[in-house]
Amino acid sequence: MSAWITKVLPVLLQELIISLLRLVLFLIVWLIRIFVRLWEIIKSLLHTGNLFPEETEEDCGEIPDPFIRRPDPCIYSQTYLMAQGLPVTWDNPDIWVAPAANPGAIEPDSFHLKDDTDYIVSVQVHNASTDPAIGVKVRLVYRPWSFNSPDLTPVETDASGNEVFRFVDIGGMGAAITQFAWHTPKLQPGESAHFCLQAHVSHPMDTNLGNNMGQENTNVFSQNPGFVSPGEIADIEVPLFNLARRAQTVAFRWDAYQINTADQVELRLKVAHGTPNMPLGDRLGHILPRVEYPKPPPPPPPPPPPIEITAAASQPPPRISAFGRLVFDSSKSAFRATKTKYEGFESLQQVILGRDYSLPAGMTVTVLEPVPLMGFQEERKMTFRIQVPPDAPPDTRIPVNLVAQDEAGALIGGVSVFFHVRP
Amino acid sequence: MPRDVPTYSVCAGPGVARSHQQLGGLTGFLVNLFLRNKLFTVGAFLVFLIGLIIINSPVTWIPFVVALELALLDFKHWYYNERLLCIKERDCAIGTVISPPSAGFDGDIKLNLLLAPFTQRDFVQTLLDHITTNEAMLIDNNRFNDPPFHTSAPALPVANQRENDFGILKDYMKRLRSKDPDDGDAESFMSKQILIGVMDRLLVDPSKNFYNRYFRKDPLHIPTGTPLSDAIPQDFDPTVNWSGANAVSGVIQFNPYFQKHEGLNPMFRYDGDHLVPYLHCEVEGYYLALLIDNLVIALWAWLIAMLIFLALGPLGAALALFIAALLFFLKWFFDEATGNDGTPQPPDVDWDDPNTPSGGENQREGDVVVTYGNYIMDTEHHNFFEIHPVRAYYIVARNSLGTEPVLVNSNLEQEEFGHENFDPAQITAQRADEICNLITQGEEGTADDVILLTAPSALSMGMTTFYAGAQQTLR
Repeated sequence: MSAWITKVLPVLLQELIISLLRLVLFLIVWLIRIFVRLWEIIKSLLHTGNLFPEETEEDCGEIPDPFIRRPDPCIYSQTYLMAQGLPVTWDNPDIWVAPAANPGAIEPDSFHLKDDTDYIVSVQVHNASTDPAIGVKVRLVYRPWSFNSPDLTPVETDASGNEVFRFVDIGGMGAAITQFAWHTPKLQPGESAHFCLQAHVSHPMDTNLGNNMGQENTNVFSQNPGFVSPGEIADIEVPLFNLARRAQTVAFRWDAYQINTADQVELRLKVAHGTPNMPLGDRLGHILPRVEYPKPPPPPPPPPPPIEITAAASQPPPRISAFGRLVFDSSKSAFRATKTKYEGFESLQQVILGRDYSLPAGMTVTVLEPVPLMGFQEERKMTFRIQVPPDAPPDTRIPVNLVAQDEAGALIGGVSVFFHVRP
Repeated sequence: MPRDVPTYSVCAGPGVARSHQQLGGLTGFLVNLFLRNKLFTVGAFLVFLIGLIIINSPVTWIPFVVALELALLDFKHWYYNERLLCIKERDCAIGTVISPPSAGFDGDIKLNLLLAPFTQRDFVQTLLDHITTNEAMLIDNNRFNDPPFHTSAPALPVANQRENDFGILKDYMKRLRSKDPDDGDAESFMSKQILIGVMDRLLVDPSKNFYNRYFRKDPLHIPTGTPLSDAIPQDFDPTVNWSGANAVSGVIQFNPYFQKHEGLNPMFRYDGDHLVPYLHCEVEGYYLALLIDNLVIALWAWLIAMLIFLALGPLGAALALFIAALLFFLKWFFDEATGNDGTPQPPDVDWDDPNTPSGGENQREGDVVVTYGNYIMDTEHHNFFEIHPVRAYYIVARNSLGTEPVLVNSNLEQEEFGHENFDPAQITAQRADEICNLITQGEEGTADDVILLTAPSALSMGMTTFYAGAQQTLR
């Protein structure tokens, strides 16, 4: 009882007095509101042909927006980056393969894999949101080495033959790696075992669906048939499929782009502030005084996983007032929302676009059919004759990205080929 | 990033948290009188008001009105500050939404989760096993002398019926639960014992019992012998062989929150339609606070008007009562008309950056979600554990919702909640902890003003980001 008198009674008496003030103000505000609202209605009628605004559906019972988190799971996506005018490579930094027998030995490409062999495929998924991404579904499929073969096969299946998906949880602006077990198919003599890997990430609350699919489609020319010599001419065959529902011409282009891993970009936190959109007439309904009880401070955040705190500094508990805070608003009119993102990619974009990705002098690419007219759902093998520069320095690695585009310039597919000059 | 979503209740520690039955003074008297006999209380209150009008004495009116106002405000204080018992300041729960979120009278939005890694199949099949093991007990009338619930054993469907027809099983569980006309949350002694036994069968699997704390008073989270543990009723009896026949605990305890003796008090709720236990979570509104504030100003108006019309005698007091009632409804209308409706739905928001996405998201049954908030025990509603208030809501996956459960030879061959996109059964203790750490870091941690990304990471993000989160406190 004594605790009630010392701790609860003061705030109750405060509320009692404030409620009297609220009564007096209510009558005044109510009268003012009638006039303000009338003025707002008249003003609104002067600007509209409708007597009443369009009715909106009641959202009673829904979880309110401020409580819902929105991640952006993503992966290096050639289509998304090309749509922004950026050069791309099919040597995907987020997909890599290693033999299951020796997981530390990363394969240099997805072209020279052995058939009937166990591999581990690692997929790195990023989250471009300040909210954690929980339960991101990762799908990994492979298809024959090509520009755009429609034959997609799951990399990993369970004992019943069902496709295996992985799920990853990623912190805000973080990344997580998941792995798939892949037993490459057994091939008949003479069949090609060259593969392209494709990873798809998905989440029901994804804020950006454009950056969810990435491909790894590379052929390092130093493995088999071996190193190239300066001046050597290599014929690269890449199957091309016309998946359109009509005949169309396909154009090819090539460049020597590869990701410069030394590049960095500084991103700054951008905060969007939201305030209630309330007409004055409605806002008046929220200005009556009320007493807001003091609230305990939120708990401190846990330390990030790698850091261990051995001893926590003890702080005296904050002193809690016997009285509440007098406020002249409601939770709705006082609502302040903020949303965050990181921005500042432009500087890196400028750096990337400012570089020259032309093939080295003396390196030429010739397509036997430069602008093929592909029939309805036709498949054709395109041959690219690539000459290594006669003066190519020994032990250098020259990338060539071969890109197929449709008549409108949209990406059909691409492959990356690396020429490793004999040391 | 620290969030500052509006919440209204503050949980209290042991010794402070109490149920309405433990309220003292005028507040406790009025609340308990009202809840025991609503008609009598309203009638008595009206008689009292008429008496006050007839007496026509300001000396009587002033203390009466002030006392009533204080009682109302005391009730509000209790409801928002002393009703919920704190167990953990912040915690996470991963589960499947088993019913669409619904708005409660107090303005809260309520949702119920079937906690991972259990599925409806786990619960239904284990329930059938438990019933079969305890068949003799369930038809023994001596076990069912439990007024106001049963006075005899409810008819137990034969095995062939209950194991092949979900509807028959559901109907039996409803009859086993029975009803207390004065308490919609109450369930019979035997119903509780059966559910405790079913839960125990499931929780003995160490690979699946990582949410033990939401089903049971878990000593790992609520150390035995502490004031917190003492403030939570006994919910389990380790001396009983719950996997054997006649799985009943003889424990009888005094539950101070209900001021009566009872058997074991399970800490989890049970959904009689889906036949699964669930964790109840609430996103808070403030409708009840608004209602009480409006009642208080109506009482002030009554008192003032009575004093103004004092010269009119009892007629003046009656007129004052009419004015107070009118003012109460006027204020209610005023609140509704101006959007001050007490729900947790935010108002329409203007963003300083027009590219900011905004808008709610439809919630669906079958969604796999994580709720983040205060892990508490509600001193009302039979002391169930809850996440209340919810401070963040993560939708993990959307699964289909089956049409009808199909039970064949005690196997639940078709569940009501799909798992084609995400199977909650795959959640492990380690992953549940990792998810909770990520979420706690995201909700309470601080975002750096500047971060450095390597080119591969920046390219993987698509060289662009979109706004996320809402209602964040920037430190």
